[in-house]
Amino acid sequence: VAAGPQTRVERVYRESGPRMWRAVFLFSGDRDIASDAVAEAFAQALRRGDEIRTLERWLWRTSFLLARGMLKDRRAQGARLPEQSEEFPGGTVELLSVIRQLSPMQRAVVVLHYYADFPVRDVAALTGSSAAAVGVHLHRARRRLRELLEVGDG
Amino acid sequence: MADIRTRFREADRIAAPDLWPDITTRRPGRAPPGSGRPRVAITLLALALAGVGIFAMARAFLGPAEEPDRPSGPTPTRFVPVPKENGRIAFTRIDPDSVVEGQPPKAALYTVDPDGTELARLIDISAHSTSAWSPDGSRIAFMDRETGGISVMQPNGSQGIRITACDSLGGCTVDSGPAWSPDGRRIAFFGVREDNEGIWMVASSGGDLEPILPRFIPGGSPTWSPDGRQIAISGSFYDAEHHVGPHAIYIVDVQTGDVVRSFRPKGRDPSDVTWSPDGNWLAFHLGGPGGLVRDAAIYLIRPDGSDLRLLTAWSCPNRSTCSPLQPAWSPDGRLIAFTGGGGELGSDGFSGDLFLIEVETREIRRLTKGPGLDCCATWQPVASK
Repeated sequence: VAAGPQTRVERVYRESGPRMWRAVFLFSGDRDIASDAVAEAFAQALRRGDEIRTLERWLWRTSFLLARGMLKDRRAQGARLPEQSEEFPGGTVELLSVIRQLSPMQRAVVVLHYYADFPVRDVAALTGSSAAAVGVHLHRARRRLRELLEVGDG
Repeated sequence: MADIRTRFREADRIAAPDLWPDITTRRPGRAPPGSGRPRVAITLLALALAGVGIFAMARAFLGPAEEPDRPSGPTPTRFVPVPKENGRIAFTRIDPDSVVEGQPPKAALYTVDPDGTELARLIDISAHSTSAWSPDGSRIAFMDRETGGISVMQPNGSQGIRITACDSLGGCTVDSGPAWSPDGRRIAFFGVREDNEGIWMVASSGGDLEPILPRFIPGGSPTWSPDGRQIAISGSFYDAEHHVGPHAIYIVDVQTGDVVRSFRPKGRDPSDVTWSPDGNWLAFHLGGPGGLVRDAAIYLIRPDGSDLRLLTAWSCPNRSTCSPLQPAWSPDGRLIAFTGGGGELGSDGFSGDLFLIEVETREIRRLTKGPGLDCCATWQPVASK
C-alpha cells in the first residue's frame, strides 16, 4: 500500500526535519526564521501532496529559499543578524560565531556542502548559482573558516 | 584542528524544536507568529515554485523545453575530418529518489549508443564523478567512489584498476575530472595534495603525480588539445595568501606549465570547456551575468579567445535556473552531447537529460530520458574502418 502524502511528508520530517532546521538555523542565525521557513515548506508540501516527486530535495530548496526571503525582508527593514544570547552546546557557540562572519552566499554554500552534505552542483542549483561560482565561494569560505576556527582552537 | 565537516557535525547537538504541530495546523502563506514581517515575497515565491512544478510535469510529457535563443551569424567552418568515428556515450545518471539522510544521491555510470538505444548500466559511481573514454576507446577513467581516487575500467564496467591513491592524511578529498592525453599515456585530473588544490598528471598505468596547475580551482574537467601539447581548463588560480584570481578559460602548455593565454568571454564565468577533435574550437558552458545560471548557454570560441559564437541556450519557462551544461564533442567533431535543463533542483528534484546538437545545423535531438539528472557525457572514439 503506497503511503499517503501526509504519511510521506511526516516521514521525511521525522527523518530530516531537525537536520533541515539546524541547517537553516546555521544559515540564517535566527531560530524564528529557521522554524518559520522549515514549517512553511513542510506545510506547503502537505498541501501539494503527490505533485512533488522528490520531496526531500524540494523541502531543502524551499526551506532555504523561504529563509533567504525572510532574511532579505529583514535586511530591507535595516535589521542585522540577531546576537546569540541563548546557550548552545560547547563547540557550537564558536561555530555559530564563525559562520556569522561569512557573507550570506558563503554561509549558504558551506552549510549546504559541509553540514547538509550536498555536492557542489546541488549547492549551485539550490542557491541559483553556477557550480563555478559556488566553487569560488566555497574556497573562500573554507579558507576563512580555517583561519577563524584555528584562532578559536588556540 | 578537526576538519571543517567535523566541526559542522557539532551543530547536530543543537536541539531542534518540534515543528510538526505547527506544520499540520498552519495555513501555508500565513504570517509567522509574532513577526509581522511582510509575506508578499514568500507568497510570490510559493506561486513561482508551484509554477515550476506545473511546468516540470508538463515538460515530462512534452519533451525538451523550447530552445528559442537560436544562434546568430555564420556557423563555424566545417571541421576537418579526423580518423575517429563515434562510439558509445558514457554518462552519469543521478537517481533523484535515492537521497539518504546525510548522504549524497546515488548515481551510476551508463553507456548508450548515439541513437539512444542499447542503454547499459555499468557500475555505481559517485554523483560527483565525471568519466572519460581513453583515446582508443578501450577503457574508461572515472572517480572511484570506494577509494576517492581515479580508476580505469573496461567499457563493460569490469576490471577496475586503481590509478591514483586518495589518502585523506595527505589532504586528498577526491580526485576528479579525469582527462586522457591524446596518446593515451597520461591522465590529467583535479585533486588536492598537501593542501594544494590543482590539476595533476599521472601515467595512465598509475605512478607518481606531477603538478600541472597548482593552486587552481577548476570549473569542470581539463581538456587536451588534439596534439597533446596544451590543456584548456576553466577555473581560477589562487595565490599564497589565498586570493582567488579571475575565473576564466586558461590555455596551458603541458611541458612548462605556463599559461599561454587566458580569456573570460563576455566577462562571465566559463566552465566545462572541451576541445574539438580538430583543434579549432573550444565548446564551453558560460554562466549568466553575475554568476547566475539564468541566461547561461553553451558557446564556441577559438582557442586563441576569438570568434565567440553561441551554440545553444536552453530555456525553461518559469524556471530561471535552467541551462545547458557539460558539452562533450563527438570524436568525428560533428556533434556535441550536453545536458539540457540539468543541474536544476526544481520542484521535481533533479532533472535534465542528454541531448545531441549538430554543430553545423544546430539541430537538437534527445538522447536520454531518465527520471533524474543525466550528465557528464563522454564519447567513445572508435578507429575509422
